[in-house]
Amino acid sequence: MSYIMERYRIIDHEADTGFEVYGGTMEELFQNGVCALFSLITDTEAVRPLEEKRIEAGGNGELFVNFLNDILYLWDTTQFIPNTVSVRIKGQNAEGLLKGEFFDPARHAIRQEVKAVTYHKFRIVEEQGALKATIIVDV
Amino acid sequence: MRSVLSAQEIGGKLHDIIDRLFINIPSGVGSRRKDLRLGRKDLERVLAKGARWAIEQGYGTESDVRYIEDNGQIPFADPDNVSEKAYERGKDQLGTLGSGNHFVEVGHITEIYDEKAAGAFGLFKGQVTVMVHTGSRGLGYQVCDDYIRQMIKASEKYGIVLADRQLCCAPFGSPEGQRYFSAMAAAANYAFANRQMITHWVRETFEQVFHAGAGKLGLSLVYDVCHNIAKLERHVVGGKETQLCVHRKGATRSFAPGDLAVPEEYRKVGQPVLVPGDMGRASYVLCGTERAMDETFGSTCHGAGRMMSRGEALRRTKGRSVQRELEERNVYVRAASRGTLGEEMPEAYKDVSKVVQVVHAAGISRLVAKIVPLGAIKG
Repeated sequence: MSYIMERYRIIDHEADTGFEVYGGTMEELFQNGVCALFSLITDTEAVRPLEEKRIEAGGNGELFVNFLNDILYLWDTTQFIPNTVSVRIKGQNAEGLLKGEFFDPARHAIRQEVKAVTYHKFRIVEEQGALKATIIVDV
Repeated sequence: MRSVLSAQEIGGKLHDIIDRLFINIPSGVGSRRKDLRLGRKDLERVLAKGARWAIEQGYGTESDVRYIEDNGQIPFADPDNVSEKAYERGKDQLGTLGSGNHFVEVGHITEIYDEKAAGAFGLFKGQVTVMVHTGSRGLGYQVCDDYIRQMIKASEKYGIVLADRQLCCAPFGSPEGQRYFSAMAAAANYAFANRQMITHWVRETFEQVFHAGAGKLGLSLVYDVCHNIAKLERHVVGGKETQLCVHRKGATRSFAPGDLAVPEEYRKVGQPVLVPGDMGRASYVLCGTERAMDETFGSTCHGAGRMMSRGEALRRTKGRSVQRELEERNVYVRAASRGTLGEEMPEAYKDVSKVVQVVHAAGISRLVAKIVPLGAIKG
């Protein structure tokens, strides 16, 4: 059987915007989470992997939420849009190698401002051998 | 803000005003000022002094702070409790509008419901008004994110069982609680400074268009108020005056006549309450009431509220020009992004006229004036 697993699904309720994200491993879940997050912000198809950025997340709370918020911080301070991500998780820390480019109004359309990734309704569950996370963002 | 102008006097100049506001006030996702990069020391002063910092720098006049909640400076703000990351996000976003539901709107008063209160607020039928909605920008979002991480740990420490981790918290008097409260106040001061600068650019823009000298158009502040903020206030609980921490989320202050927190000029009628609606229909000015003090800790609603999700609004506006539709309603809008216009289309919101009728009938604020939009800039 060959099929490509859906990477994420956008949640769009009256009060909540966010996504459900899927992955075979925790690393894949984090990678797909970054794609889902930036699909809310811009058209990620138009982003080329021209530059590299490294980030490291840890701290209190949930590593996945912290990781996504740290990438959001990178976007807000440097206007870097990731296109592909590889993630390594070691205990309470996650390292990400991001490839992408800096925002260029001539090339990239902005969809919306994401203020923060929240803990509201946040959970990671295992379903049919794969991981599924629910993320609600503050827009 | 009020003005001495009437809608007729604006006439053919409206497009020019909106176009220039759009240039003079950076708007949109990640908007930043290239001409104003603040050093760390400057930002510390912004966080400590709020609107007063902006006025010292020449943005506005000394009398403006009289009409800002807490005189534009929450005193217990502690810039040292704001993280490096928050400083980094804040350094080039001061003096910008941002995105989402943030706006600067030029409107005119079409109806007066309460002559006495309108008189006290300096409002009259036909008058041109300007409303600004923005806040603490990326700095505020970062303060929130930083402290949520700390509060999750604090909730465990204090044995607080959480229904949802976003509701993490600590006792108000704990070191964690006090640190957050002082950081939140610093972010509020940043927001006061941000709006004060925008107030100044709104005045400059009008003066450019009308070739008028500073202050000649009478663009003065009616009121600047916070929402989504926690304040330490005294309220009567069980017949006894008690100090409370009142968190208004989706709500704003509606203090009664006589309250010392209300500017002296307005004290006989109560605090001005500003309830912005959507881009196409209306906004309202109300005033605070005794009933709000008794029933809602001096609070009322702060906006119409969404009726449709952002995605739903975008789907419904696909292929439509919201800008043209608004022009057909005689509202000229410039937006940094087409997406924002779709998300913010009038039908995405509840009808604000019905919403203010509810709070008026409930007695938690009283109708004073109706404002109909003429034009706006959006993020």
